[in-house]
Order: sequence, then C-alpha cells, then structure tokens
Amino acid sequence: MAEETESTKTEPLKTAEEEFKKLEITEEEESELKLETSDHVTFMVEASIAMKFGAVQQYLEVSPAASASATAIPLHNVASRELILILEYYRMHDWVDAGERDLKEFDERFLKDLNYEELKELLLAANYLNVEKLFNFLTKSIANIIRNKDVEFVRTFFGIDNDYTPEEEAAYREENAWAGVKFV
Amino acid sequence: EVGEGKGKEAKLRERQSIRNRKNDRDRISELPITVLLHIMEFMNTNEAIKTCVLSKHWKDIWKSLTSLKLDSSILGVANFDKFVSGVLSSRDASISLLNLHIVLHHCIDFELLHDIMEYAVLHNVQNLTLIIFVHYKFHFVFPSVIYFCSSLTNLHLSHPFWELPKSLQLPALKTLHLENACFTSPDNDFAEPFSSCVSLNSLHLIDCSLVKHSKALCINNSNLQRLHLSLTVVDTYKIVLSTPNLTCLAIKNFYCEHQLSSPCNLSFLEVFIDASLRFDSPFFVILLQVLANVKKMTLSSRTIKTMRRVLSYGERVKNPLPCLVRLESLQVNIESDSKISYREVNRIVKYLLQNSPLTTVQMKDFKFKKLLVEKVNKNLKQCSEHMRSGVFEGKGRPGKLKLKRTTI
Repeated sequence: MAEETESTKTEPLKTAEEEFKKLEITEEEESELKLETSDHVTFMVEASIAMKFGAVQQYLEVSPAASASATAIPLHNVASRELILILEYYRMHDWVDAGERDLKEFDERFLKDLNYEELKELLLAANYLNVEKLFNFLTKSIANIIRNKDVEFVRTFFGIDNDYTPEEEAAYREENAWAGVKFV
Repeated sequence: EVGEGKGKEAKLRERQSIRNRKNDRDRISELPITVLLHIMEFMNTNEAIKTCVLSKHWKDIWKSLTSLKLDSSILGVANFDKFVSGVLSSRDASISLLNLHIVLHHCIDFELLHDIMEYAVLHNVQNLTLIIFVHYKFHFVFPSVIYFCSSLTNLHLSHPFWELPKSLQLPALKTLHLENACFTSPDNDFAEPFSSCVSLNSLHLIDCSLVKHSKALCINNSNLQRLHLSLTVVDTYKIVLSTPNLTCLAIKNFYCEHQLSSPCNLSFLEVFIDASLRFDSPFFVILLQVLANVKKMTLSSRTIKTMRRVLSYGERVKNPLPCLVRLESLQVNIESDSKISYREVNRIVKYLLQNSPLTTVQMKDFKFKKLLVEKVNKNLKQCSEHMRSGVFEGKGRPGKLKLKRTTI
C-alpha cells in the first residue's frame, strides 16, 4: 500500500526492461541491540523495534554505552518465550506494507494462539517492558474475555482465592445493591 | 532471527514452567493494580464494578478508576439514575475523573445531569463524551458548567437538537465534536463560538445549524488545523473560515449548498471531499477556489461524478473548475457501489491537473480492491490513459525487505 516514490529524474521512460531495473530491492542495514531475557537467551533485535520498549529506552538513558557495545541489555522479568511473541507482534505492526485488514487478521490469530496463562504472562512482560501498543491490545482483549462472565470464571481467570465468608459476601452485595451487582 | 540456544532453553523453560505453575499463579494474581485498572477501563463501568465481589483485595480497586463509561441501554433506564449517583458517591473522590463517556437513551433528570457534569469538571475531566439520543420536551441546552472547564481537552456533544452558547471558554480544548448543535449569535450578528478556544486543533461539525437571522457562522481560530464538515440535513448558511493555520479540511455528504469563504490565504496541505450536488451548483466551484492552494487532495467517486456534470454543462455554468496550481498529490477513492469508469475518472483527473506541478495520482478502488498509482510529470506533458496497476493491500510476511519503486 505504501508505495515509496523517489525524487524524480526528468529522463523519459525508454523500455519496460529499464523500468524494471529501477525496481530496487534494498536490504537496509539496520543497527541492532542485544537483549537478554530472564532465562538467559540473547536476542539481536532491530533498534527501531527495541527502542519502542520503554524498559530498553530507560536502560539506555542510564547507560548509553550499551547501545554500541556488545553487552546485552538485561530484561529481568521477560522470558524468551514472551520476548519471541512480543517481537512477532511488533515486527508485524512495524511492517510498512501491512494493511489494516492484515493487522486485524494478525491480531486475531495472535490472540487465538495464546491460552489464558500465556496471555497473562505476556501481559506481565508487556507491562514490565513498557510497550504501550501491545499492553493496550492485551488489556483490551482480557476485558473482552471476562466481560459478562460469572464471578467464578473471573476468579479462576485471575487465580483469585475468594476470601469473603459467605456472610460477608452476602452483606457486601446487599450494601452495593445500587450497582446491580448480580452474579450467577 | 532469534538468538542462540533457543530450542534447548525453551524446552527447559517449559519444564520449569510446569514445575512453577503454582508460583506463576501467585505471580499472576498479583498483577499490579494499575494493570487491573487498565483492564477495567476498557469495560463499561457497571461491569468493572462487578469485580468488587471477587475478593477483599478487589473490593475497592474500581474506586480508583479514572475512566467511567455509562450507557443507559446497558444499565437499563430504571436503574440508571440510582447507579450513577452510587458510582459518584462511592468512588474515591481524591482521584481525578479523566475520562467520562455517557450515552443516554432516556430523558435523565436534568438536575442529575448537571450534578454529574459538575462532579466531572471538579475532578479535572479531560475527555468528555455526552451522547443523548432522546428529545427533551423543553428547549435543550447542556449544563453550562461544561463550557467553562479549564481541564477539558476533548469534548463530544450530541443531542437531537440543542443550542450551543455564543462562546465557549475552554482554553485547553484540542478536539471538539458537535452533532446537531444550533449555533447562536449575539444580536443577529455573526456566530463565533470557537474564538476563545485557544488550543483548539481539530473541529468536527456534524449536521449543525445556524440560528435564524444570524449572518454567518464564523470559525475564527488561529490555532485550528483540522476541520471536518458534514452538514447534510440542515438549511444552507454562510461559513467563514478565519483560520489562518487550517491545513486539513474534510467535507462529507455536502448535499446542501452552504457558502464557504475565507478572508485568509489558506494553503491547505490536505483536503478530502466526498460530496454530491446538482450540476449547476455554484458551491462546488467556490469550494474549489477556496482550495486553490491545496497540496494533497482526496476525492470520492461521488465528487468526481459531480465534477463530470459541471464539465458536461460547462457552458451553462458561469465558473469553470479552477486550476489547482500547487497540487502535489491526488487520490481518488472509488466506492464499492460506484458506477463510474476509470476512463471517466481519468478525464476529470486530467482536467484537474492541467496546471498542477509534478503530481502523484492514486486511485483506490474499493470494489475491486485495487490501487492504481501514477506519477504525472507535467514537464513532459505526459499523461497516460492507462494507469499502472499495483497491489492494493500488501500480503505476505513482515520483514526487512522494502520495495522501492521509481517511476517517472
């Protein structure tokens, strides 16, 4: 969709072959950053993507030397499993030619491939890394999952132990009757 | 693509994860409250409040929500008033209410509406949306406290028919979206409601009308950059654009022939026009003359059809279509229900580009999902009949490859 056009030359067009030659396919040299996950796997990540991670930005502000050197930037609360997913998400969303529909399809598939545990793990990683777009996508998706579900489902989803006694719970619901808090 | 030792490490990690499932569970249940609040802000407020019965830890979390979404069609009309009063009296009053979104399908008690708005204004509301679908029997105005709010940055107001006060005192407002408002003016003079909104950047007017006997709607704002007009079902009036920094104008479904004029030398960067008119409508020509300096223009096939009519009846129309001497990029969107042929589109495009400099032409065909791109170099006086085909929507996998296409 995004067709890049270069500054023009004023020579008239000669042959189709010549025109074809002008279709340049360029492999752009991009600087990379070395990231190390909590399970000690190192990743070479395009700087354009890594710099979208708030945690990476913050690290480089404190120790700017890390961007050039071979030392890996440690990501203490992100495992390789999550980082692979995060990179997959950002590579797709960063891709210039991705149309709106492509992204929608990708997002749906991305979400479908995650079970609830993985989804929450990924949310924690996204929160730690401070990656806004993915964080919003995941929190919104979780909101959609728990919407209109009964209270036991939500407790199971978040791994919550109910510490209300039945009497307390009944009293609390009574007190908040205005909110129409009805649960199955 | 992925770092060394992935396979082995991943397997190890999987094994660990099974062993640590109990620990993981504890970790998850300790999701930071800010994250839980973020999840809850995507829900309607009544759903978010339900989390209070999950456990003691969750009891008060919702009270710190900075966004409230209240919809009477979900809550039920009977419960709405009680619910809203309950929310406002129970939430933590020391926390700002930054986003408030209310959709009403019934006539809420006006006193209550006023109280809600006052609460929002006192709690530093930044984004306020208030959409009312029902007609109040009396002459409706929104609670005036809204129009003197110093924290508001985005405001969206809609009601079947309502009057906007003469002047809005909203110094932080950046985006304003008004539907079915009637602009009022002092002493049958100009209506000039936006001149005190010094930060206003984007203005959307949907089916807004002008009070009778007023001279014109004057959009007088030196900061405004984007204006979206969709004034289809209202009587014609004059619109004066005193907006020296306006760079983007969008006009949609402009069946009426409002008279657009501007004392400023507008040099638009971007214009979107989707309009359908009678062939002899002077509006169109006036519009294009206002836009004479436009650099980037998007036209719908409806608009192209109107232009074709103007061209066909050229002798009977006093003013011909103007020359767009600074146009650098033209895009034509062909809607899926459009019956216009590429040939006809090409004819209009050629006409419009007579005096334009180097221009990129893009045709987006929503019917056949095609993108046609052409770069026209007027120096060469070359304008081919057949546009080169490209691919409308990119398919494949993301990667580092970037395709650069150079054409003349």
